[in-house]
Amino acid sequence: MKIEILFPEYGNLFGDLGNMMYLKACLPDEEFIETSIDSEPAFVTEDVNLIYMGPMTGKNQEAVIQKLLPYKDRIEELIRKKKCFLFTGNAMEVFFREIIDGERRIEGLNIFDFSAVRVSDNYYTGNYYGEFNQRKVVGCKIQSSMAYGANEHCYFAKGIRGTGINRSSGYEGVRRQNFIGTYLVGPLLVMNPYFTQYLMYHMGVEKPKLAYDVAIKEAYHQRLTEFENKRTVME
Amino acid sequence: MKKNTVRFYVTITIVKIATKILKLLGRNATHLPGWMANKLCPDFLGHLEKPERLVYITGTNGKTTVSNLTAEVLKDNGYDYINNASGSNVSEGVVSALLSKSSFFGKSRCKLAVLEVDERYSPLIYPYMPPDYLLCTNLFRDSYKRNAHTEFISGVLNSQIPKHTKLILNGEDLISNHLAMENERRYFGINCPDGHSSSDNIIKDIVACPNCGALLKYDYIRYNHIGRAHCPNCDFGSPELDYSVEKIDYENQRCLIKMPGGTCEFKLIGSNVTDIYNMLAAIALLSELGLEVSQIQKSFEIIKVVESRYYSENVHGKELVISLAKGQNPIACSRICDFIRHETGTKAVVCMMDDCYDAKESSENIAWIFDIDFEFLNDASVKQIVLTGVRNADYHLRLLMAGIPEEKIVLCDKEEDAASYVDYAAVDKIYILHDIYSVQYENAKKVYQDLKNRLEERGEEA
Repeated sequence: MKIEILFPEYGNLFGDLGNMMYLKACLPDEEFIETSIDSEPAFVTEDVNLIYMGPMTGKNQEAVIQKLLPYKDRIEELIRKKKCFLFTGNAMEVFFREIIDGERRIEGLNIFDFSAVRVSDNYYTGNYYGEFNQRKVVGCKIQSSMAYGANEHCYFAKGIRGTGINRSSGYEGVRRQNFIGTYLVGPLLVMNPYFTQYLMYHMGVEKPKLAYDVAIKEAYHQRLTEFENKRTVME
Repeated sequence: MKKNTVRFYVTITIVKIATKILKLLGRNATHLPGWMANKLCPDFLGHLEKPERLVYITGTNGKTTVSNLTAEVLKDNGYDYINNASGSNVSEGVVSALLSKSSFFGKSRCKLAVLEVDERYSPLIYPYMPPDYLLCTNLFRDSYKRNAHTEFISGVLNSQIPKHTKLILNGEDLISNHLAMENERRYFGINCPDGHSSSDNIIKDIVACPNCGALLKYDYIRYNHIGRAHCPNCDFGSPELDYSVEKIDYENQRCLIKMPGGTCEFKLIGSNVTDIYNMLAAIALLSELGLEVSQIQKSFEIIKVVESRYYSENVHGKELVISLAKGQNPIACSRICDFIRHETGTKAVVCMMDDCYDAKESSENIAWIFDIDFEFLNDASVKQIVLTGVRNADYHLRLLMAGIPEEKIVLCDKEEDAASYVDYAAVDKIYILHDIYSVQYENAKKVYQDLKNRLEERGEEA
């Protein structure tokens, strides 16, 4: 099994390398490929079970779009073939139609018909509590942009508390086949043991086992209790 | 300086009376007067007269220490200056400090102000009080809620630094040393092995050339992205140093510093590489302000790091250490972890780093703990780690991910109870790491005192 981490030198903000740190602990015998921005992604020529990228700065996001544009057809083919993708934070926006930054319009890979609108002078932060595949999902948000587009039928999580892809939507992220893009950071896989199990299963792990099973579930249930509590401020 | 208005005079009258009352009540009056002034007159700072020389000290890590060291040397040499060492480094603290030495008409009673300024607050301060000198210690990722990342925070600073401001910058930090490139500048850095370097950090905040995108070639790394690097494609790279540490002698607590006027010996203020950066930054600034080398050298023989930042004591053969670890700041915490692993003897570590405000009404975003090099504590010399506070389940998982054996980890829900969990008999040194909030420092002091009492009782029995 191969897991490709795209451009970790860029996609490493907000503690999200913790996602791969944890997955490595769950899958100690599998191959993790770290692809640098000056190299060709492994998924172009190899069979990869999961492609991951984390949040990055706006400038790096634009470099990543340019880097991935030549591989757009291949990415669409892999999505159709139900390969797993996990793009967290603003990494998801790379696949959108466009990113609006004031007067500037940055073209994305246009795999999802969504726009992201950047707010340059501030960051939105908050907590999110929702549902994915009949399991509760928790996460945090640190983002300088919001996404706009109809994700009611292609969302990652259905909101219970907190802001979804934008302030007027409870639906968080985008999903097509096994492609999952979400603004949730925290890191997502560390905060959501059942989602991590789900992901590993769809990557091809027959009986997914969580590393530090007791500790991760303890932390998850504690946070779940906090997020369910109406007195907990979410943003 | 703006033309003073009735609103300004009403505000300054109220605030000066309030300050007197606060002082009569035994309060420091280092934040509230500024807060009141800003509320009553939003452009209050613009009405105060700027001191002849205005110096700001900013940066992610070390600004408080550098500000305190600079102030101590100035004080030792008989300078009269304005300083916010005992107050806050945000807009309110700066206003309070300037106000404390201003007349009723807003005239400054001091010719020099040396102020620590939080980089995030530069848009609220620089336009009204543009600095003549700006020292930036370094720029790293810091509180993700406030500062997001270094591209964001350096953008904030770049948009505020006036063209006339002379910059004093860390020559080994490629992020901060490229601030306001048109400005006059001086660089400081370490030009010799520091004995404690660690290049195995999880994060590096600059890896690609901001001009052409090529991956940078590092000549060496001291920690995280601090070191010397250059772009293989263009002329982006580390600058030549104007103030450089050329030799470090930890045993005798001395170092040699090359300065524009020659090479001089100074007493070290600590044994950590960050202590050396902090003292070097202060020395560079003081020299640029016109102090003689002999004046600075003499003062450094006697000054110490403030106790709320680091304090240690030997109690019946055990070293008890209380140290600031700065919550939400992964680099500061990683530096402490690195420091601990390099110390001699066996150790126990007490972590009390929950965000107090989030703990009260929200649920802390703990993403930042995945950027801390807790792996450094996965060392045979670290025998026990006590995790305190509401987020101890998250820390527990993070430590397991760092490879730390389960049996070394102890969970304690209440910070103030931590002492009873420490196996002090089994170790030579005990480190209490606390966040910056005063309530946490008080808890850390309680734990410290509790441990000290236990050690003294044990010592007397023996």
